[in-house]
Amino acid sequence: MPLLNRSQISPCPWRFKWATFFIFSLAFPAFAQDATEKEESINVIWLATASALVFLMQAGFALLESGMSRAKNCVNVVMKNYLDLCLGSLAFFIVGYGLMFGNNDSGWFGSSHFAMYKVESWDYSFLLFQTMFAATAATIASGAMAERTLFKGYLFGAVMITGLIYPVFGSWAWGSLYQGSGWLADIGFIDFAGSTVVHSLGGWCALAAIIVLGPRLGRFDSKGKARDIPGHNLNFVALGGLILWFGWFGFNGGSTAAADVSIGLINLNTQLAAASGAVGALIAGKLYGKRTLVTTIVNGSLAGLVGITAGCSTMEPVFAIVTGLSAGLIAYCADQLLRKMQLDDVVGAVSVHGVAGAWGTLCAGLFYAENMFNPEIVLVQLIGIIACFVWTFGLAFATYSLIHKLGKLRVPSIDEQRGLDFAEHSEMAYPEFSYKSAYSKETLNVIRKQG
Amino acid sequence: MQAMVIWDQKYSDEPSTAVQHFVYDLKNAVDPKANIRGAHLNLIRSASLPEKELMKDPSREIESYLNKHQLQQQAESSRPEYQALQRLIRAWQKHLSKRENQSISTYVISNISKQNINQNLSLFFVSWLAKRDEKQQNPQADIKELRKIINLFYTGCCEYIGPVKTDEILGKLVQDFKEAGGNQYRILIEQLL
Repeated sequence: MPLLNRSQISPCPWRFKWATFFIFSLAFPAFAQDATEKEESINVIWLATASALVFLMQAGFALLESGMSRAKNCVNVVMKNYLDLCLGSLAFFIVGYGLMFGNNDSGWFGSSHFAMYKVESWDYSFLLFQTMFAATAATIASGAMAERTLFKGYLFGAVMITGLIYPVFGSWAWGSLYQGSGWLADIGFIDFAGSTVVHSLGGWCALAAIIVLGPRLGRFDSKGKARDIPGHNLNFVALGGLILWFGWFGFNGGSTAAADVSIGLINLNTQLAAASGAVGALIAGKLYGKRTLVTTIVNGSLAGLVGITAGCSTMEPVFAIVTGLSAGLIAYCADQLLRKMQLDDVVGAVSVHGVAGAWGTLCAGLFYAENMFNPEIVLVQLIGIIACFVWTFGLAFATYSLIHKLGKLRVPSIDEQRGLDFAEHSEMAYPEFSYKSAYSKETLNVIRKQG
Repeated sequence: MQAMVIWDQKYSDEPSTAVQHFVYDLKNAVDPKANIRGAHLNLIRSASLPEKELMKDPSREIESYLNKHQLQQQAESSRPEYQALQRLIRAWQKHLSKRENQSISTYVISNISKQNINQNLSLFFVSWLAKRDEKQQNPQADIKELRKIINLFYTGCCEYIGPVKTDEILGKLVQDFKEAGGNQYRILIEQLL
């Protein structure tokens, strides 16, 4: 028995549009057919454009994460971002999409549309858009695991996320957007663009990974206090944050899956939440008596963006500000808590994506415009948040533990000493500036020859 | 007897010291099941024997032991690497405070047995680190094993002074070596890293 009627809570601007279109088509059948084709074309164009915007977020992640890493590891971080996108796209096309959106009789996962072919243009666009989402979910973990993870182990984890972990949970919440169905959607779970489905899921995978991996060498002192290991390029961090912010207009706006007038509100909410998220982090930093750091502000705005993603289409702008502000605050506090727990998250992915995503999903229920503070809606949101954590964290922990047992997750300490750019790729990001480093290109060549 | 009582009551349960680590490593090397307290007591008892009861100068026995195990001949081939390693670590230690040096040496001594390097090298290095005795004979070791020792020292530094400062020191040391040590040391240091 569903706790909520899905039609009561789904943002469905299409209903309006289809009713108008139906009346219009009765009067002018030929014009209606033409209008349908044009509308479909516009929808396809918007979805493909939004996909490109979401794709750009990969560049944002790459810049942000490499900027927060030390120079000796920054190529490795970029390579992980690059290749998880490539392998993740293939895994999602071959397996993930079918599991997520295929025909689903059990309500647990889909079983058709694997390696989809010979379908309509809109279907291809939808697949493209969803592929970008899957790749986003996978890439979230890379920043948290930076500077000490074996390349192949990481990539295996990324394929597991895009091929299994993400699509199965996605089918529960979003399967009905295409030909599937899912138990979370049936009880009325609200997650418009994926605060939980994409971001929390990625965040919980990152949490499992960093627990299994352990911290970087010397990250915590003998008393358990975290040592700062500054990233090598804060300009990259800021630029990456801004590119992510830009891409988010496609992430949230594109989740209408159609060129629709609601995009205005969705993207306004996105903007306001990002801005207030940064302010929230600023306030939190002051409350903790810390200086205002670039990383704090960038992560604050990202937490705001993650937070608003679930409810960007169903809440008034003022509540988008509340959601963003609180997400920024909570993400900051969560990051401090992780440090106390001696969990080494290089970029703050767990707090920004996992925790702020869960909080944003709760806010989407609390501030649902048509029925605010309804305990039934909030309960459904909580069920979705918990289900995501249990499924994702459990499976990711098992996956990373298995990879670790096989000796394919953590790099040897000598590779941490040399840096993963050389150890994993035989490359240096800045060879002409190596005079301050122990390793020059010549040194690395000598080591490479020796094996 | 008084020395044994003082040791037992005052020092045997104290945090690690070089002597304790020496005994610990000796125990691991000779008899892993041995009672560590008993080994300490034996050491103190031996040290407090009257002079006439002490063992005669063991130099000849040590020499025959080295010859028997071919340690001296093998040491010759790897001497430059050892020298580079020792110079690097000694220069490294100059960048650390006395307390940091003690902590890192203790860390290295405690963890060297886990590095999967040959036991003679392990004992040699522990002994060198504790005594700073350059005249010891070098056991056979390939460059990869020496690299593991440097990495262990690096790991210890990361633990006690943090990775940022450690990288900074290592970078500076290597540059200094390359500038001042000539081509031979430059190549050796590159091999050791």
